[in-house]
Amino acid sequence: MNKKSLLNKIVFRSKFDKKKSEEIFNFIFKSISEELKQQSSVEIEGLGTFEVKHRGIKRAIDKKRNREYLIPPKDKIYFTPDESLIAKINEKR
Amino acid sequence: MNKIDLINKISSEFGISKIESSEYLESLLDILAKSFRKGKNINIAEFGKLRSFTKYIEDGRRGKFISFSPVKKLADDVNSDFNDLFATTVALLNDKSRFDLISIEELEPEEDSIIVFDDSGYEDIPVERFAIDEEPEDLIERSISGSGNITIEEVDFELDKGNEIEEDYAVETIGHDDSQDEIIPEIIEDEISHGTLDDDIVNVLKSEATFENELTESESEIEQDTQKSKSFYEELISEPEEISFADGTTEEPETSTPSDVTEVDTDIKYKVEEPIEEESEPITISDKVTEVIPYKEKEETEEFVDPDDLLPGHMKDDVIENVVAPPGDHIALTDDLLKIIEERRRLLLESDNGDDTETVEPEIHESKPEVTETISDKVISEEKSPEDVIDDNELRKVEAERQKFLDEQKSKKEVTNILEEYGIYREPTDEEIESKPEEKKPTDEDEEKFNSILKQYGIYNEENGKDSSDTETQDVTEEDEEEQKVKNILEEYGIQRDEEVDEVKPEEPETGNILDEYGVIREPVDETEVPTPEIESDTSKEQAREEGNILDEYGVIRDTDEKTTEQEQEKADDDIEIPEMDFGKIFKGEVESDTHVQDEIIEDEREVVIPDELKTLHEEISEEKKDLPPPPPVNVEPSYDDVFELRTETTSQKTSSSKPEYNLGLNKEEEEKDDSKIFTLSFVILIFVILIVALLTYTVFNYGLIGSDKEKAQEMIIEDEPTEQVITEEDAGQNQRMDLLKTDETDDVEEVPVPTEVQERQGDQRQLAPGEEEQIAYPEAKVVIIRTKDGYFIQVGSYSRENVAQQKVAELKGKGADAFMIRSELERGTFYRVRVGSFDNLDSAKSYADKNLN
Repeated sequence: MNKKSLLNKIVFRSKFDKKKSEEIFNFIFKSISEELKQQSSVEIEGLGTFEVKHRGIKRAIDKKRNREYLIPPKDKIYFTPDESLIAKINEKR
Repeated sequence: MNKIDLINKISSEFGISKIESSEYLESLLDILAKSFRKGKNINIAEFGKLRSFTKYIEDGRRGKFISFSPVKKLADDVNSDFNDLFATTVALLNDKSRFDLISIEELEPEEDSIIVFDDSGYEDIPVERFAIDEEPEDLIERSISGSGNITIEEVDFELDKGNEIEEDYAVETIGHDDSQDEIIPEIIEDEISHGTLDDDIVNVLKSEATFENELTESESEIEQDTQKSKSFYEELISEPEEISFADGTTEEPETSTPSDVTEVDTDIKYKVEEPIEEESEPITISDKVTEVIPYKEKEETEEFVDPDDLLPGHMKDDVIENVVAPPGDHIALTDDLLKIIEERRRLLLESDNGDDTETVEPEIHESKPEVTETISDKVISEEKSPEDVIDDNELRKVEAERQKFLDEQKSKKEVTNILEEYGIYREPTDEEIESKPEEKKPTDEDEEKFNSILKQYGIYNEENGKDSSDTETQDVTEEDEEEQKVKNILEEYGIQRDEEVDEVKPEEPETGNILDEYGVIREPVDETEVPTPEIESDTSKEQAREEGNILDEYGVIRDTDEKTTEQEQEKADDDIEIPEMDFGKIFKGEVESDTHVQDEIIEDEREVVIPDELKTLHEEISEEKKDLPPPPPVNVEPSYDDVFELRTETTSQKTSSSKPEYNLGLNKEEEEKDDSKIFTLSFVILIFVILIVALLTYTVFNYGLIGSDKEKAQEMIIEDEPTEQVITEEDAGQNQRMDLLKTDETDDVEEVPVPTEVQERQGDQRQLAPGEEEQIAYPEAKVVIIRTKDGYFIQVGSYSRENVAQQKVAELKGKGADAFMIRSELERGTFYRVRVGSFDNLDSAKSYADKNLN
């Protein structure tokens, strides 16, 4: 599913016209991503939580080349879907 | 951020009411949910991909789940702090020596995979991601002499300035910028000389000894690794003083070939192993050449690829770079990484100077002689360090560790053999390492076994006993784990197992196993019912002793011992005071006490004593049993002696005769017999009952059939209305008469002369009333003959429809028969009967029916 088709669907439901709905749509995800950039978590009821977690240094071994690597630490986004959403998705009709 | 916050934000941004904005959000989420429900993925530009996939959610149920993979830009922005960091090669692992200490769990995955170990666990990354295909040597050469970007800076040491900085540092950097120089903690000439470096870094670099001491302190807490770590660190501490000065640091680290480094690598094993076990410690890794392979971003910007996965794939060997985060920004990184890099560098030096620094290695040899022997023979021949003082306790610990290690490796080797078959795992070094200890070990084990066997037969020497007792204390734990389990189970049921029997008798373990299997069920039986056979066995045993054929009868070795001891004792002294033994303890299964007692006795008297005790025990028990009345005491709790006797003799019986008692006991058989009787009886009764019921039902059914058959026959005839045979009728009244009159007129022509006899017969029959009819079935012609007062008629059929009846009449008339139709009204409805006649006689009617209507 694309952003465009999603927007088209939203336009049917919402009061706003296409342009404004797109703006709002973009704003929502932009605000989420900005929040994530500040290393803070975003919890949206009905969708899930976006979290930024820190992963420590890793060591890697390449057996083929007989090498050992150090992989630097990292901040990574983790998404855990909301239980209500999963229940909704898997609901039997 | 919360959902409410988001709604507030939207409303404030676009000047919408909160309700509207919330509605918008809800609709969006609803659409998302619906699309997820259909299994669609959702791409959101500049944000990421929400992917729906199926997995096991709960209770083994499969369901859809959602994952999120951000756009690379977002991921990078989030990871802005560490984006500058690239993966670095920490060590070159030559000769696979590194892998000797890696557990097989790590080696199990396919050869072409990288093992990433972390606090969290292990992950496999396919090697294909790596762009490096050349051998490490080539890479190093290229890095040194290759592209112009690389600048190798070496530090010529000024020893006068500081004793702390004694090593030469080779730093490969790429794009050597001023900014990087500030950042990179690797020592650069100018900064060292000018002292422009940050204090932290300099301290870290300068304080090797302190660092190592810290390590030792931290490790001292852990008892097992104390030996390895201490010895190793002592070497490390002693190294630089001896080596770096003597060798002269002019040698370039890069020139050292991997083959030179092998010895050092092998030695460093122990150090490499530590960080894996101890997570808290900073990672210390052996290294020959410090390389830093930069993290090269792909030009193709894939939106939703997880950058973490791509990490190793973009490493490039052409460019070598040292990248470390700016120390100020990330304190944790500097603390950890700097230490690591420092450690690496130090190890690098060792590897470079490894050829000349032979004095260092013997220290290792002393501390851990076994391993060094196996790894390299050179080391053994080398000089020994002045430090000869090693505590015996430490040595013992090391030996114990080594044994553990070897045991582990034995188990591993089985796996490795399997792996070797598939070509996954091949290490010749392992065999060399493992083979030597394996050869040694079995001999010890054999000795132990031999000693134990000697014990069992009562032939036992003090010297061997001591040795074996020492070894046993170590090994018994492993061997008797199963027995202990059994014991625990037995204790739960209030019956404790006599382990002395295990020691004395070789055959006991078999019985023990059987007991384990049947132990739970059989124990109550033992308590109550077995004593009767016990006494018999005792008596039999005594007889056997007299005869001297116990061995042959029961095949039990112990009896012979008893016998021999008996004879010997009788010969020697009958008055020997046997030390009072707590047989209860022995039979309660206190192994150690038993062994001690045995040992003591053995030390006291060369002659075997235990069998005597047992013999006395037997005698006592047998006497007691004789005194006791034969019927089994049901409720009396059997003492452990009793239990012991039972078990032993049951075993003997079992060997000689078939094994009745282990098949749930003798009584069970009796019960089974009774059960079988009851079963047969009940079965017979059941059969009788069934027969009676069948007879009853048959008779009832028969009587029912008699009644029903008649009724059915009538009904059948009645119901066959549409067919030709129709029988039911009531008086049709005048209509019938009228018809009959008509027929009489018509039928006169074909009347057959009627024989008188028949008339006479008819005269015998009762005379019918004028409206009355009698039906006479004549199935041969499929016709019913009807007798009336006026004569006989052949009824060809009766039809519910008049048309059909008229057609039939027409047909019959066409054939020349005197057919006519009678309308009869019944309760069921009106029927039209087609009849032919009349005939004077029944025979004539029949004959006519046969001729014409058939």
